[in-house]
Amino acid sequence: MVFEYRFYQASDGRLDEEVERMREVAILGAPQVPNGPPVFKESLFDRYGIPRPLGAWTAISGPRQPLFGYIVRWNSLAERDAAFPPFWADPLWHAVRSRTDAGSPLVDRIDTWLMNPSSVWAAVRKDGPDTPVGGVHEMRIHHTRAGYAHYLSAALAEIELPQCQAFGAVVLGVFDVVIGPKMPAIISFIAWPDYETQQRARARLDVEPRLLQRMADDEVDAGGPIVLSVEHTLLQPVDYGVPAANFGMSA
Amino acid sequence: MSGFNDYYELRLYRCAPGRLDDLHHRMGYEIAPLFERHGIPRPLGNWDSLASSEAPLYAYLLQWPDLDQRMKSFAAFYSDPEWQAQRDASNAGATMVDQIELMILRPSSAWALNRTDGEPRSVAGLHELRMQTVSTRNAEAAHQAWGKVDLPFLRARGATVLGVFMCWFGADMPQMVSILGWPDFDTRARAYNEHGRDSGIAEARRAERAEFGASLFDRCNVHLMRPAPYGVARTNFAPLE
Repeated sequence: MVFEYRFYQASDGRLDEEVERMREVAILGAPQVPNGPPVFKESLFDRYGIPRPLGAWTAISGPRQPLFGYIVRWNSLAERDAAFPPFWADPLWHAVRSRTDAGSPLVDRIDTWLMNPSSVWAAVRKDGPDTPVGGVHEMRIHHTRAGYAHYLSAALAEIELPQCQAFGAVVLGVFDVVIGPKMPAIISFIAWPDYETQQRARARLDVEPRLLQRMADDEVDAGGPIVLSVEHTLLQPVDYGVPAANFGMSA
Repeated sequence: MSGFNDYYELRLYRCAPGRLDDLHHRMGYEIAPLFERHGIPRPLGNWDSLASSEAPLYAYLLQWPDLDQRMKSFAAFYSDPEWQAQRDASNAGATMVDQIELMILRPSSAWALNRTDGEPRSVAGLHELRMQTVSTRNAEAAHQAWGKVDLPFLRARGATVLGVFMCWFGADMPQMVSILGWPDFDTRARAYNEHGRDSGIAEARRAERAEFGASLFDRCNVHLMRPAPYGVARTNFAPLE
């Protein structure tokens, strides 16, 4: 099992168009075309066996704007590479893309990262119903110094994420990046009920004595910094990609 | 001969200060038996770079027939107690690598247009890693232009095309990754000077902008690399002997 995180830097001012393009190909029904492949499910993604996104967002804050991102889960990469390339070659997708590009590219840049579930996720998960979790979501990409990621994993699992949960957050998922830039990296996706709760909680966590002490102790133990940088983004789930707790994956 | 179904993995390590020699020793003289145990192939090339945004940079390239096997191989390698012991011993108290970028690549059509004739041979000299972001809408046109216009121009001025790829998994996609060999620094500098002044190249760029409505080529990150003595890449990235 592997998670693919795809995120798109939309052309300036055209983020909504990108959200709607994704709706059209991933969610809405694909029309039958003469002599085309049979329409046996609902969308173009369905036709090629590309799973529905486990979550899809636009960015509210952060460095990659205008950003649209989504996560899909694969049983294997062979399955993935049997699904996406035929979709990319489908004339219907080309027609949708041309129409929605409307003369100039809708997307400037794409990142495709592969992620595995982190041990941190297992440590902090709370099981419950697979109902969608709305609110304001938070993505934190922690870039750690190679060889010391386990210090961060422990601090996330033992202090930071349980504190977030105590302040009202739902942990959606925590991943280790396996293919991507600036590795090692750990990505946490958290849902807050609203912006005010998120702000209050982060202000408290910023001065949380146990967290500060742990970071100081870890640095001494490791002979240097653990976390090199954190990319912090607030996300707004789009209506067709509101994730469930634990991304709908029951333990 | 590589085909479209091949996957390549480019591994870029930002080396900790002062540890490049230690990393070379690990990668060149210690790690091979453990790679072999877990089905990780011998690299097609190993490099370092002191002329890179990530300097000191260490790089190597692997080839895989199957990505799921790749995931299994590296997972097994990382969890091998013998690797962990070897790593801890050679780290000697502090890690050698600060940050890693991994990319999965597939062969570009520009590579097919610029294969090197003859029996595989080692390509000594200066190697150049070009990480070129290209137009999202017309990525293949960028590969074609690079393969038909630019690479022949550079080859006529001393470049050897080791490989050209499209990024399959990684950052800043669509991204075209080229690895070129040059006899020396000056030959490369002359070739790019001429490339920058050439009216034919300029006309090609104008024609592309007219046809596609925007430039095919966005920013490019260039790393000037030194082949490691134990991993000097061969033409067309033929396997090392």
